[in-house]
Amino acid sequence: MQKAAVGLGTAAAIFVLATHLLGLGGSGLAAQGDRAVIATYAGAALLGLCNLGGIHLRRVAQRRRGWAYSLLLLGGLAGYGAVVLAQNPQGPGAEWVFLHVLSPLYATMYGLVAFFITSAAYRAFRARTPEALILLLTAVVVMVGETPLGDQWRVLGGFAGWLLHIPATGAYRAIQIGATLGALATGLRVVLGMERAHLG
Amino acid sequence: MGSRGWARAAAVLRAFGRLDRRLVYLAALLCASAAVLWPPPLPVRPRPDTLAAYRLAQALRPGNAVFIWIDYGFGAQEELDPMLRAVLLQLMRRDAVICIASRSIEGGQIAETVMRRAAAGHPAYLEGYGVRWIDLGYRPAPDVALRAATVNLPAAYNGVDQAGLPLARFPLTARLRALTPEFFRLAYVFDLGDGYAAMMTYVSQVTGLPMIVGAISMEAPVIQPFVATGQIAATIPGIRGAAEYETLLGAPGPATALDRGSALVAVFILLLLALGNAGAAANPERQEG
Amino acid sequence: MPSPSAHPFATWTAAVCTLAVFSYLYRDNALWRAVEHLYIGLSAGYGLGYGWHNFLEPIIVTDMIHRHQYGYALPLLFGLLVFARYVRGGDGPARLPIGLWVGYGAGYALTYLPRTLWLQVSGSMLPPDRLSNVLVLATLVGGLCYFLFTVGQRGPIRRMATFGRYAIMLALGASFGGAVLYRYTIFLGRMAFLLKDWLHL
Repeated sequence: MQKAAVGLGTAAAIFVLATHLLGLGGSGLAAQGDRAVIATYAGAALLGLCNLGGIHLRRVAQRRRGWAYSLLLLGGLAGYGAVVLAQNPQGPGAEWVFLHVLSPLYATMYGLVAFFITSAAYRAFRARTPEALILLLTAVVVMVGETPLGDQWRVLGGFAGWLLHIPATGAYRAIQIGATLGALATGLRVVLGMERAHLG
Repeated sequence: MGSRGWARAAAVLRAFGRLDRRLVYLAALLCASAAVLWPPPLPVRPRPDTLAAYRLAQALRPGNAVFIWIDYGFGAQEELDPMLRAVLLQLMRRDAVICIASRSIEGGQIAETVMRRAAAGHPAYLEGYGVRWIDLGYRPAPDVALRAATVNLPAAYNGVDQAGLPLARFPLTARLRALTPEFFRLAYVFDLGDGYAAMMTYVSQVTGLPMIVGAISMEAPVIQPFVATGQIAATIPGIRGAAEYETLLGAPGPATALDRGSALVAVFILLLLALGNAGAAANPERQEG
Repeated sequence: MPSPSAHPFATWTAAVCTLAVFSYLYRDNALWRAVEHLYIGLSAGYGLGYGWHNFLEPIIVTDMIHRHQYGYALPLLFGLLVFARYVRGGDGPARLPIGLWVGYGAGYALTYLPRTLWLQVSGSMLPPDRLSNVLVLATLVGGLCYFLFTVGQRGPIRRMATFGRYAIMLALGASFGGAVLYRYTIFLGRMAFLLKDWLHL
């Protein structure tokens, strides 16, 4: 079956390439292919949900450590899932939870990183090597220069802009070209059936 | 300062180095509180990057259609919501037709909320869903959906909007048949920067329709190579770009407040970096973990 | 985000959620774990409802049942094959949709990335009449030399790679500066909610 999956991948890649090379990329054929693939994703969209539910159901059933948290998770999943199903994603109940529970919870989790950055700035960010010194100085110039202080101290603000527009542009372009070449090489390996890691 | 003075300073710095991390967190909390409550009243002057983005939208004529692709979720809301709000305010003033789609599952609802709040002073938009603007929401395989949208926009989104309502019932659908320069004049990508995937997908797949990237501060340097080559028409960089946009609109709002507060934060972090490095220099034998 | 004019109950709910997450900074605690699990459950619940209304219902109810477009049944069922992994011996069929998706993605990469790559390379070939053009090209070549692992880094290549390493550190420093501002903007936003919308300070 693994060979069939590899062959299917090769065929799919060739379909996309061929429709493009034959000038059919903007045609009905390519669009039908795209829509069919979107439909296959729709079929599989609930897989993650089943995995998550399965893991936590087992945890509750076996009364493993922290099972009460799993129960809370399952309650949230079933309860909120039912609300969104019964209304729609913009129904009053669905929207209320989205705005007043989900959004603040996740945004705050993201905001926690500010504390860790603060701690790292104080405890770990040391200019011990020339590379670290360059990184530290650039970070400071960009951090200060990209706030309204950059307008007050024009030289600093101008230097931060120059760093972003000139040397950082060349360096990031090198990283992007490297990454793109890597993506192309991986794509080629998939088409040729040499890449099978994703199939287990 | 004599040798005793230096020794005392080194001892103080060493003591700072042994501070409990929670005290550092407390300092961060106090700094953030001060930044929110008393942001320094510094002027915000628009820079060329933001000006270019603003002028592109100013060139829109009434009725021109704009495509907005949302690639952020809850994590970037604080930075990109004010930016999206400012852009939407300008588009509504230009009387543009707005089509929103999302690359993240929560992006559709986030954009819809920002749009409805921004439209509070624009009754034509507040009441004009399906006529002046539409939210197509998220579809699995969003990159595939984007290419499909260049052929048939409603079909690429399964014929329904963010709320699952049939697109056929909205008059706007008949006008916005495909994501091409024939039907649209301008596009925006609001990019959280998970490997700048949305921006890369757009510049690779959609041709002929100029795109403005609204980027988080962290991503601003990453997208510069694409601005330099013209693959991106313009960029609005981070919260500062959003604040500059509000200044251009003459409507200082949440972005301006956050941007001014960030000046205080920058000084605070700078101070910590200096103290930390001075402490390390004063105590070179201590191994940092 | 809650609206500044939201009902007090809504504001209080959002404030409790925010404080529960911040409590993790003191130490790992039951309240933090509770909201962490609640968040995952609610997100999954949202995904379930959203998936039905936006992906499955339009295909199953509108296209297949109302419009009799049964052609979509095949890709839909094909996608469902990923669930075969829950059945004994179903690992093989479950790999088929994964093969299709990875292949389709590879096709996209091979189709669309070369043009983007070419524009980036050609965009770097600017006339060396300005220092900035020379510097962009030098940092690009230096960066590429640094990532060159297929040949030994000796002589001029080594010097260019060293220069490239410094250039990459500079670029990463610029991103780090941006990252500090980005993360703090989120934090300031949460603090603005707590201090202004909730406590009305």
